[in-house]
Amino acid sequence: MEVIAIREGKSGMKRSWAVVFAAWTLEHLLRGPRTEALCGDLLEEFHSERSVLWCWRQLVSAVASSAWFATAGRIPALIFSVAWTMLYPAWHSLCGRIIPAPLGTVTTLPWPVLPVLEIACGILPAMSFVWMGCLLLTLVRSRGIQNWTVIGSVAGLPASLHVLLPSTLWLLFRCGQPRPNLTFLAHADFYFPFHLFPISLPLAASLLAALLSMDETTPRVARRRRIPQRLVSGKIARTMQMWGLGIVLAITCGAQTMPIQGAPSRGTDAELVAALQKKLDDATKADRFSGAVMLAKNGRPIFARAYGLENREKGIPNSLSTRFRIGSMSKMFTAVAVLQLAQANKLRLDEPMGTYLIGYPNKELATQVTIADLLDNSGGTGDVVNAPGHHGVLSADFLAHRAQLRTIEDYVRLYGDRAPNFKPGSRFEYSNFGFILLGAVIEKVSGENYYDYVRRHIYQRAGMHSSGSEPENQEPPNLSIGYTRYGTGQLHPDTDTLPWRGAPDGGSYSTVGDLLAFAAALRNHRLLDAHYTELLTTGKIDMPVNGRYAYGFMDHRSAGIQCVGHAGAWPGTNTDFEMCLDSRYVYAVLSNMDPPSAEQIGFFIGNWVTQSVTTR
Amino acid sequence: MSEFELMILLVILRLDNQVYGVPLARELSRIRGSEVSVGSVYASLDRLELKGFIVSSMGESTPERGGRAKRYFRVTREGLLCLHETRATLNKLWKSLPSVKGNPA
Repeated sequence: MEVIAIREGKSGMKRSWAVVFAAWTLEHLLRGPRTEALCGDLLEEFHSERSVLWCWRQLVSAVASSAWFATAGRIPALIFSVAWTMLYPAWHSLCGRIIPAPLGTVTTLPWPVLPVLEIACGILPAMSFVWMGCLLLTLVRSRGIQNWTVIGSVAGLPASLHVLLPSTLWLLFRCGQPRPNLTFLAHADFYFPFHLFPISLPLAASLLAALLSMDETTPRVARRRRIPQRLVSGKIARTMQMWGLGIVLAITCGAQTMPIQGAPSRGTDAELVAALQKKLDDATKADRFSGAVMLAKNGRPIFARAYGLENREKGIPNSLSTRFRIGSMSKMFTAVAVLQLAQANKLRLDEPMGTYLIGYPNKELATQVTIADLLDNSGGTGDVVNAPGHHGVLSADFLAHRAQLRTIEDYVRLYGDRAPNFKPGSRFEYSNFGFILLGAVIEKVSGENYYDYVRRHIYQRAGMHSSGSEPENQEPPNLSIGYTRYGTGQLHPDTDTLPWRGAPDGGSYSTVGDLLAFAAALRNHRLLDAHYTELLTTGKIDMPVNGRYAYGFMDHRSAGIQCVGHAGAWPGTNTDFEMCLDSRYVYAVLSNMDPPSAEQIGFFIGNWVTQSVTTR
Repeated sequence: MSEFELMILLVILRLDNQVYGVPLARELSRIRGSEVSVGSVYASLDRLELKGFIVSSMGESTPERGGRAKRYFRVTREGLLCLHETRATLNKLWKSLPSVKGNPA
């Protein structure tokens, strides 16, 4: 270039630099073999007769046409990716029926086998869906493309993984998971309905990445003395690189699931209190916990503290007297009420529910489902709160009707014509509706309103003076606001997800002190006699994880944690109440933030006391 | 195959089936009677090459080109077959073209 510039003389030199700059620009804007030849052609034309202006015009049009062809060439892939992604809900629900079944049976495998298995199961539906799309489009198009190769398409698959893994992690982060962890993907409830739209973004991006990396957008031009085999080996090398990167990425993602080493999980009570305090301080500092915790040994509190804020807008801190919504923990009260009526011989647990709910809309359900089936979630009565098949995520139907569902009759009117999902009594399927029906039974048999019954026969007898389920518009003093990250990823009040008022399946409010009073009343047989208390808390039917379900209580003893109790979860609500080692240790963890804020603290305590007793 | 691509194939053959960008673009401009964008010629050449109708190879470089290599294009057997097919099809269609009065076809 310099040679030319000098040869052209003074005025020519100036013009020539403009063209050299144009060539330099072109070479940095365009890629591929065409650029070198194109630059050469422009320079050659310039030296024969063309003007600088001509060169720049050519440059602009070259960049524009290249951009146009690149975009136009990718539009079919983009359209296909988006269209294919729309089929994902169907595919996911199909997978949901096949994959979780075997996974539910293995919960005791060591790290890293279990997390790897979980990630695999979680990512598999998405991965196979993307790859199926790739295969389909490739098969359709392969006839038209001359240099389509098997190696090229194998290289496309890890490319999709590269996009899928980080973008899914990003999504988890956006959806408010404090420590994004790919094992969340294994939880089927991750997808619906909050994440249904967001999950389509990683999927479409991943599919597009795979398709584009398979495509040859520019031909490979043989240079002199370059043998064609080099091209093939280059492709293999590229494929290996892609796979290598994919494996590194997968390991990096998987490493997050590594249990944190060094933190002890057993010891004396003093050590437990110190460890718990540290854990809660850390979680509060990281804005992953806000609530109250009470732990009692032999009926005397050994730990009681509150963390975070009850109302962030007004800056009111949580205290031990703060009322928290307790989610599904209300099922314990409903079950106690039913067993009280059974103990008083006012109802029989083996009777079909139709015996008490005369004129129930669906005859099949009324005659086949017993009271006991409702109590241990084996009635096949379906759900009203969770999205179908996705425990822990609110269904769109519930969100649409939440303001109208005010009484138990409202629920029965809306959902009463549904038939059982499966043969009643044959298996466990968590059913909030089953507990609503128990509430209806309590009203019919006792002749009292459900809320009055629970207040008089449970709250008052146990001394739970701060507990209740008044409608949300009559909120009692000290009721915390639930803060959720669902939907937007930003912490906000969960007001637009709450039911009109708590129901027999959940949603009442309580305090840590009240829950410990509940445990004491159970232990002292002030609520139920010894036989019925035992019946209440002894596991009846296997749950997919965490042991067996009793009557409104979960019995974790077969899952290795010597505790019985119940947890509660809602956007902006997470709670755990457990009675461990025959009620020697009792704890309540109530949080006004998303799951698993309280449950992970609860698990820590339950695991500690169980571990400590088995090693002593 | 677009009209522009068809013309490019025919111009390559017209220039003895061994041609690089500059003469190709000039001949195309001359025949069409209007300036063509070298960049869009290359974009079409790339697509033709992906379809297997032409092959290219990098050739010598000259000082005028700032040391950049020429890229030579050649029509393949597939390209030639496709051209013949297109001509046969188009010939059938031309036959039904009505003449316009006062405007020689």
